[in-house]
Amino acid sequence: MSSSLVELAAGRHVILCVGPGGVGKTTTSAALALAAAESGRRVVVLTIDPARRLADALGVVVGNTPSRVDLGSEVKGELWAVMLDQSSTLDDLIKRIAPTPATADRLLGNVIYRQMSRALAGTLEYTAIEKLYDLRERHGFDLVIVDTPPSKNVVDFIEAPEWLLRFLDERIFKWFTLLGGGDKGGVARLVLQRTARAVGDVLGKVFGDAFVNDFNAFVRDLEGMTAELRKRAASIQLLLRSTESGFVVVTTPDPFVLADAVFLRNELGKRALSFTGFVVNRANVGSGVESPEAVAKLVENVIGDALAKKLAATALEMNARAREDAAAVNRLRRDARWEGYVGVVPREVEEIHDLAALRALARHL
Amino acid sequence: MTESMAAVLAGKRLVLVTGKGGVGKSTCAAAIAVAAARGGKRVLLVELGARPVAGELLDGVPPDHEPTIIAAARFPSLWACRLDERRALQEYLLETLKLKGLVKLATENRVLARLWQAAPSVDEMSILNALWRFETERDPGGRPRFDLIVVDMPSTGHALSMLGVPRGALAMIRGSSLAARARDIDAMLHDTNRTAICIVTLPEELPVNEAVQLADRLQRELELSSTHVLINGVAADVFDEGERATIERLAEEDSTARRLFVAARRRMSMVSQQARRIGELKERLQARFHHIAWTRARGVGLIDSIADALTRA
Repeated sequence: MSSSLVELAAGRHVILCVGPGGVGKTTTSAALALAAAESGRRVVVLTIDPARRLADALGVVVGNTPSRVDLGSEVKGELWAVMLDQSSTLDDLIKRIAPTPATADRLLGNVIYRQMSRALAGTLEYTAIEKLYDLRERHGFDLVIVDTPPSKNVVDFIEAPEWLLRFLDERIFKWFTLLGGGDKGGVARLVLQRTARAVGDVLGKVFGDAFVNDFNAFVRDLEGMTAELRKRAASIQLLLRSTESGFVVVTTPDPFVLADAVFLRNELGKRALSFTGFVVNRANVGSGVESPEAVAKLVENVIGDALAKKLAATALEMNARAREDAAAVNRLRRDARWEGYVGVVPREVEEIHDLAALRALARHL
Repeated sequence: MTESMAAVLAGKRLVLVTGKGGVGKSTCAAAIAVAAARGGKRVLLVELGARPVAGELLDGVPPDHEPTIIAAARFPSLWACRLDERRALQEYLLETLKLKGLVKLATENRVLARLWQAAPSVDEMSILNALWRFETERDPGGRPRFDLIVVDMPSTGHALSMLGVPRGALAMIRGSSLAARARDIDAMLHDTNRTAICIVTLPEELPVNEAVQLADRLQRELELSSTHVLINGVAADVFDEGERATIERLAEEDSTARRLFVAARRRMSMVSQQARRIGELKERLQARFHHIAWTRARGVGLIDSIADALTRA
């Protein structure tokens, strides 16, 4: 028997729970964080749970800054929780790294920035990663457990730093600076400038001139911060790739969900990211009685025939589901070619509403 | 007599299927498409995910960017496609800018190509544009190319941001050729005669909350109404009241059969918990609801059984 997930987490400083939507990532993250805190570490769990259910279970008001969960005086470790606020995380970062407060104000008010940071797809993943880095580097938590956002594409999250690096590609900035600049400089610059203006014309035709003007202002104000943003994105990538970090893929026994989990594990492998193991939530548990005959024998002279028949059918159906789920876990190991950790958590009838329920769940990890 | 859910949805042109991750969106979208195709409609099932599933679900070939009939023997009037973001972007620019050279420059210039890749919501806009094209396409006789387009949408958060993209884009791109198309797309999404939004959920705490929030945000932020809700995975209630009492009593008594009653009680509490969640959902959300049974069927058998259920009034 290999070690438990809690033991595997002992050597790490960042654990990222990734997986398809709706598999119980939030609950798994919280249970793991609680277990790590009770083992004596200073742990923060970063969640994007919109239902606020985790906050209720932990008994704290969870916001964009860490709040401490009361675990009682006998526990040596600490458990903190953060709920990601996408736009204020990005705004805070801009305010911290802008060369002047005026630049920050201008950028925060730019229509393109506002759309990007609040309404448009793609930035949530980056802000979550940025928050994780901030919690580890600035707040100095010993262990950061991240409940990753439900991505439209499961790899979006791990690609977020690269996405930002691509966006901050210096050439884009150079072009736009040329676009806005006057006619000075050598022949080479003039030629470049002419091409840049052609590109600017295309953008103007595509998006309208108003957009090009807003975009120019956006790029100009962001330009002074790109060095710092690039440095951060690179450091984040380094942190995610280091042995300090581990990825846990959370799934359920559903065949389609499981296939996504295998896909995700392979994507992690391709990016040389350290994979810690699978957690399979919501596995069905059998009835413990194997055949209709066994049921009949057990309930003879206890209940009537009609109920005995229904009980037998129910028991066998539960067994069939449990068998299917056990087979699914075996298939997961085979398809992912994975001999390491696979935690199986039974389908909990009771919903998680307090620390005790979370602790009970952690025992399966 | 009330019309079946399948009939109501088949009367639209575009059905967008969304909900929390893991609730069975792809399965339900395929079943809605199959139910309409069985009635003789020419149906297109659109997939957007990284890992296409329609081929597996319908026991056919995996769909490509171009609509194709993927399981001809069983579903001769059902097309499927899996939209590719890059190709959708090229088509989008070509349709709106009309100048091949311009599009070539816009997509092949290295700097601009990187900008497209990195810029948020370009993909979403291209995808919506493709849906709009499918919806408006007519054959030379003036007949729609597809009677019904069923889209397996992303889950809650991404569906919301995707559906908000035309309005978000309009705030940035005032008065360009793209703005006109963004307005057309937005109008299509808001025309309840053409478009229906179908939320899939499970009778569990989080999916129910998320379904309610999704419907609320669609209405409040985007003025989109979602009047169809599919409740997936509803476990059958097999025991009557007297039997439940007997099981509860025997699960507490010490006997060799106890484990059997304890197991049965586990099933009963799942059923009653589901009933509570369904009650909450119906109280908090104004919509037409449809229950889909928790079944062990898989693949095309599962799709058929859901399509049957949707076709019953």
